[in-house]
Amino acid sequence: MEPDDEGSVLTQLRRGTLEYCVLAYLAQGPSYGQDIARALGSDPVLFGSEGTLYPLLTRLRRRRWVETTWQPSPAGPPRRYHALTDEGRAALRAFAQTWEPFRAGVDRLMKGAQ
Amino acid sequence: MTESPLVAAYLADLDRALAGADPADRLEIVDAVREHIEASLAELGASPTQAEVAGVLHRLGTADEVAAAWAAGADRPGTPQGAWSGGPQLRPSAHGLVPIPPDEASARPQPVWLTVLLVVVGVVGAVPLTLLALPFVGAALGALVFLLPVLVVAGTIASGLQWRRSTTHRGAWLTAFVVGLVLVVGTATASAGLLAVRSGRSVEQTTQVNDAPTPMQSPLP
Repeated sequence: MEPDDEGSVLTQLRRGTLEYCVLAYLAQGPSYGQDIARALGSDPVLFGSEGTLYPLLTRLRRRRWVETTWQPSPAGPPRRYHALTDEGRAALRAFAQTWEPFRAGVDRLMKGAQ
Repeated sequence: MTESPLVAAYLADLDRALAGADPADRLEIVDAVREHIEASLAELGASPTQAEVAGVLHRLGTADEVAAAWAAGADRPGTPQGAWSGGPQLRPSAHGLVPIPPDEASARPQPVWLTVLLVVVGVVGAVPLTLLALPFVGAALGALVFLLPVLVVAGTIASGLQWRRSTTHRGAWLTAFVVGLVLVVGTATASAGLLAVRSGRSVEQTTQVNDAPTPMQSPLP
């Protein structure tokens, strides 16, 4: 497989899953952008670039899956903190329930194809 | 903090790349990215070098990549209806798919239901208006349904304004406006005519009562 193809597959896969990864990270507790970017960016499979987090957070907030508040920062100006709402928690549960059988199904086929 | 020219140029690029986004979203994304850059630079000490600033911007990705992430969430199949009203709708252009400005996009589903509503309200409103003009029924029903003609007039004005402002579905808005206008003018004319007939009959009845030598009972309550 050409590297370009790998890149486009990754882009497609991220498109459907990355927002749920953000929800999963926020399920551990409220957090701010830089922290979320760092946590998800530590795995290059998940994050192509840190900046893509922000449009995603805006979408999650508009869907009311995440709510955003200003919190004082120990150093520097206040930060936007993002917290999971009940609707966000429900969306994450629904994703997790679908993801497991989906992944298992894809794995089974991929192992057979190799 | 004085913004480095590199940061200022990056944020200006991002703002331009998000030109098709909802203005509130655009502002929020640019502000959040600015906040990220400032926090990252603050961790590097009082005066980060050009290379360090470039490194922070590199990790963010290009302005186009960030804007693409905004547009990418729009048209995924399988997104539950109603669960998400935030994403932009896309339309083809010379530059590929570009987001439709929200004021145009939000105008899309409205004309059909507004037209139906106008017709329903108009029909329901026309019946009591006619009844209002008939003898013995007037006042009580009239008081109850006085609001309906007002709604028809308001709906007509609203669809007329939308027809002038909107850039999509102008035909549907015009239809709604014309239907509303016909209902208003039609029911007003019908009501005026019936009221005239009624007052004519009242005068006639009063004359008959006065002419009668020994009236047993008035025909009016």
